[in-house]
Amino acid sequence: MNGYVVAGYLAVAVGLGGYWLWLGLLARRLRRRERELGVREGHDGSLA
Amino acid sequence: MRSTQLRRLRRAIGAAALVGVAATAWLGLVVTPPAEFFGNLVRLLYVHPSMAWVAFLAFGVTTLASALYLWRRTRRPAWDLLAAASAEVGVVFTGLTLVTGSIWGRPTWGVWWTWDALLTATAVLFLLYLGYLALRRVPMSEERRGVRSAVWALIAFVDVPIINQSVYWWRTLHQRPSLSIGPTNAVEVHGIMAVALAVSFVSFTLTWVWMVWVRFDLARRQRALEQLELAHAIAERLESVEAGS
Repeated sequence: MNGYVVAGYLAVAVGLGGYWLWLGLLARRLRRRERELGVREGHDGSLA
Repeated sequence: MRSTQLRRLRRAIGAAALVGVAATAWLGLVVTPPAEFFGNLVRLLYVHPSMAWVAFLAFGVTTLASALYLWRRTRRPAWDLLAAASAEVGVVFTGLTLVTGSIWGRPTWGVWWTWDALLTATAVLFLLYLGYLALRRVPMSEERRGVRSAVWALIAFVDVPIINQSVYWWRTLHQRPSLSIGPTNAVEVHGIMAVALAVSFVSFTLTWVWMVWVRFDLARRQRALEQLELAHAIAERLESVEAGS
């Protein structure tokens, strides 16, 4: 397989995978803070 | 729709996106044949144009949500949060458009980067939306931040049609769109190659939907927590003042 092709697909995997991991870390941090404050998990307040 | 149903729907979209992206890689790397002129390099075209499409879609949604936030009748914090979520995911996809484009450019044009109109306008788009995300981090009231970033988003989107038309307005290294309906001088894509391209567009669009949904959900939970923390801090302060008097 062409090295440039592999590099392109790897870049996409690392970019999207990295963002997915970051979302996971953010969610974990939020869940911990929600537990500390005694908020029901997933509570989103009013956006009206 | 109830929240459990919505969560299930989001999970289903996430799973479909994951399967679609895996199918894109399989079709692009294994199933499709090398092209006559570009050889194996054509495989990069199963990811690069769909990255650019998703980036434009993301910034389009950011613009729409920002306009809805700016209009007083429809002003809701949710529009502001949606604009921000979509812009953040758009920045990721624009970054990947630039990287995959650069990887394509080296073997086909002989350079990793050139100050070509389309490439430069895309780099400017990346910087404009990075600036948008930076603006959102400046400490100010929620409404002021919402209004300022919405105005920024509307101005930044002007670059999208410029990118789209740059290949017609200026002489660029970048080819004109490869997919078009009707008789054109575009590169013909058919058979399994067209299938791979279609799967790629659908799966990366689903990936965008899932990511924006998750990011939006996290942002509104974060907002609710910040409001709660503020209420706790005010209550504590009032208690200490009352205890002191």
